[in-house]
Amino acid sequence: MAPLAPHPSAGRCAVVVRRGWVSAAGPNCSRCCLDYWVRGTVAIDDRTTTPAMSVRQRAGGRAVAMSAVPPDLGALYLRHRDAMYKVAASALREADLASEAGDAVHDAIVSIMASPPKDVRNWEAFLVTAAKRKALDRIRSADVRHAGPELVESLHDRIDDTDIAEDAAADLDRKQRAAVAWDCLSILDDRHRKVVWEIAELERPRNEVAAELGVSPPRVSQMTKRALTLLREEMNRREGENDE
Amino acid sequence: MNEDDRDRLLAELIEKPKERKRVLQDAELDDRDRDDVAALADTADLLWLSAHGAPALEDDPVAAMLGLVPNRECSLDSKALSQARKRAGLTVSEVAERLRERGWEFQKSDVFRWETRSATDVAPAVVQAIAGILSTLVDNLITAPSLTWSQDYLADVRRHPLFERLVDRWARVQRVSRAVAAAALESRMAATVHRGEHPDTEQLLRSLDALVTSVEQTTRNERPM
Repeated sequence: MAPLAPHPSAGRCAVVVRRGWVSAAGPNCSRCCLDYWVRGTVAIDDRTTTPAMSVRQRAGGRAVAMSAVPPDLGALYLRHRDAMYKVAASALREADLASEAGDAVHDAIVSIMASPPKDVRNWEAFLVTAAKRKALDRIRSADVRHAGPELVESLHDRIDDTDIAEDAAADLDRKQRAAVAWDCLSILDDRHRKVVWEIAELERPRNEVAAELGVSPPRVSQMTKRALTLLREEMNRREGENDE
Repeated sequence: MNEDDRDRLLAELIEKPKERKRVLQDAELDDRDRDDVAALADTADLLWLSAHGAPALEDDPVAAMLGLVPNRECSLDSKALSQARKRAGLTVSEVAERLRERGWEFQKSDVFRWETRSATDVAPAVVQAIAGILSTLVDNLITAPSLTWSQDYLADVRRHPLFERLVDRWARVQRVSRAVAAAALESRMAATVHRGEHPDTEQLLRSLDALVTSVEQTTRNERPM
């Protein structure tokens, strides 16, 4: 087994080589590189290996020294629980089950407690992926309950385990963008902030919000669009600044 | 499509996230307008996401289960910590560093404060970690439970013999001390009550039993023999 060089820059991954991604900080292929990123292992051309325990790893966006002492699950959960909840809620929202996000996170942690993983390079990605898997398990169970087992086959077309792992990076990126959106709320005046909060975040019916504010429902829609437009512009501006 | 129609379309996209693809496809828009409306709906989704994070720590049953909620049943004793640290031959900085190695985000100033001022906000899981670092028992680091606890609403559960057995099982499956296990289960009960539910003693015990059993079963199924 060869020692693991920084990946994907060493050109170990065929996808990375083919696409000309050469920077270690650059894009990864969705399968083996993600596997490396999450678990610290890569399985290409029989060169499965594990990075030395002394390498520095990314954890929650910060570099931390990897030591022989495995991190405490409680400490990891404390740091990443918000991301776990958000990713689980987001996955469950599509099945109107967002309120079960806490249960999915619980299932994920119980599973990890029972079978602690080894050689995890990025705990945030690992925990988020675990929460998402459990969220999708819940959707599968709900579908079986409602539609019967015969329809589960078609559901598998939509939900594939590989896709879940591939989405981890996108989920974390989305969580970061949600935080930016939240920060940008401060640029709105009180009335527009309230409207967009009630409509987009709390998902309250337009008529209710209109009655509360003493305006017509179309006016609420107008204010929502105005607020979202301003937020979008501000987000683009801030994200543009960060890219420079 | 005029401005009013676009406002209505956006409202529909926000109201029906599951049907967004279809609604967008059906709308009479050119590609640029379609992209603009989709971008605004996506911004609405990001706001929704920002509001669906983890609950407050004391309301989070998973945090409670992991012993992350400070609990007076397992409260770190400043004097005992100082003595145990000195016995272990470690400095305040070294204790903080060892905690960070285990993933906790504590600084030297935190450990110093626990020893000199107040340590009541230290969660049972952290006490367990400190005990591991100092090679001592959790029981040597915590203060005796206050007598006032027996008057609160969870007292009946704590006094129940089944609770004691659940604590033993939880300590075994989690590989933590009894004090940490008791604190975690108690916080878990409190989190249930914080969520607005008001179960009676039997219901609380049944719920804890189900939790402990599920973790035991998952452990049996997933741990290699």
